[in-house]
Amino acid sequence: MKQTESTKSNEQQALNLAVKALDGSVDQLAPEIRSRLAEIRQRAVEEGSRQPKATKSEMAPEGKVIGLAEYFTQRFRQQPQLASIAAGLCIAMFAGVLWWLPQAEKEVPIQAWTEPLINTNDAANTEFFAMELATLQVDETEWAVVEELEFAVWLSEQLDETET
Amino acid sequence: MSEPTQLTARALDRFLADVEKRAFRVARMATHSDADALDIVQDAMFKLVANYRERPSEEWRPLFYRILEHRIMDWHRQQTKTKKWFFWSTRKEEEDDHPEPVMAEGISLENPMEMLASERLSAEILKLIEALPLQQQQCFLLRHWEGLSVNETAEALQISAGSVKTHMYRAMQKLQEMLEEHQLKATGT
Repeated sequence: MKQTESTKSNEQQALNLAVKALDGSVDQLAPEIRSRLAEIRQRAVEEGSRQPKATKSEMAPEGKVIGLAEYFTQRFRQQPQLASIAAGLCIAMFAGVLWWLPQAEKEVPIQAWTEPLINTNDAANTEFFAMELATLQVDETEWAVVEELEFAVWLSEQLDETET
Repeated sequence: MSEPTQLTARALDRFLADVEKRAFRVARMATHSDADALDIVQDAMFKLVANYRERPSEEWRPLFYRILEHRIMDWHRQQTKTKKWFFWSTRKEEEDDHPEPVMAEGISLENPMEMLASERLSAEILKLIEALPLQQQQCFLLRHWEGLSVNETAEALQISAGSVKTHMYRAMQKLQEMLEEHQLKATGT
């Protein structure tokens, strides 16, 4: 019983000490903090008396849907580090695209497209064109053009042979 | 400005003037930063005035502390996230405005007034309260310093009344342990 009483009195003493220490710390607040607090209070009270009480619809509801731009602006204002990381990523992506574009152009050589047309002597290509022609539905004029082309090819082959 | 609005404004001003310094101290203990504590108090004041000024004035105190605690918890969550993602840029905490505690000699628990005379002991107590886990610290401050009831403290912190009692008990234990250690060192045993 006595032990409980002494524990309680120790507790009370500890509490009193803590409360007095806390009160003392408030009394020792720096003057600039006091003046900032007074300024904040004044602004809050003035603003409150100017504005009518916010209705529920005027207050930003928790689940309010906001645009992406607004969301990111808010986030970046709250955390400037995020903004710098995002900016860094954008710059890196832009630089990457700039580096990749010329490479991509080089990757498709024009010869890949023109070779089958230039190498008309290539047997496989000739066969391919012949098969393509056989399956095509062509009228008389077009057929005449094809025959003329065939004649021109044959003539050039003959000329090559006579030269060699 | 209409008469009732003026009256409310005056009452609000008086209420806020009464709580502002303590609220700042509560926020300062949780954040260890003057600027952050001022921001939190400012938010709490503006929200109370904007949303609850027409409520009966006896409700303002628990409401104000509830908003304040919400903001402190938000701040804490944000800091935890920031520390997680930006672990390399650890925030440099502001200089502690309490001097390094030095053991005062010849003071005992039997003579609390003598103990209180020692500013260093006060500084040590404040340091201990600042070092408490956030919920223990806030429970202790709201319940014992601000004089909120267990239920009001529980509502402000959004925890159960049982948790408030547990936090209070642990905080008190630490405070008593510290004072006992202090006494032992002072008596040189």
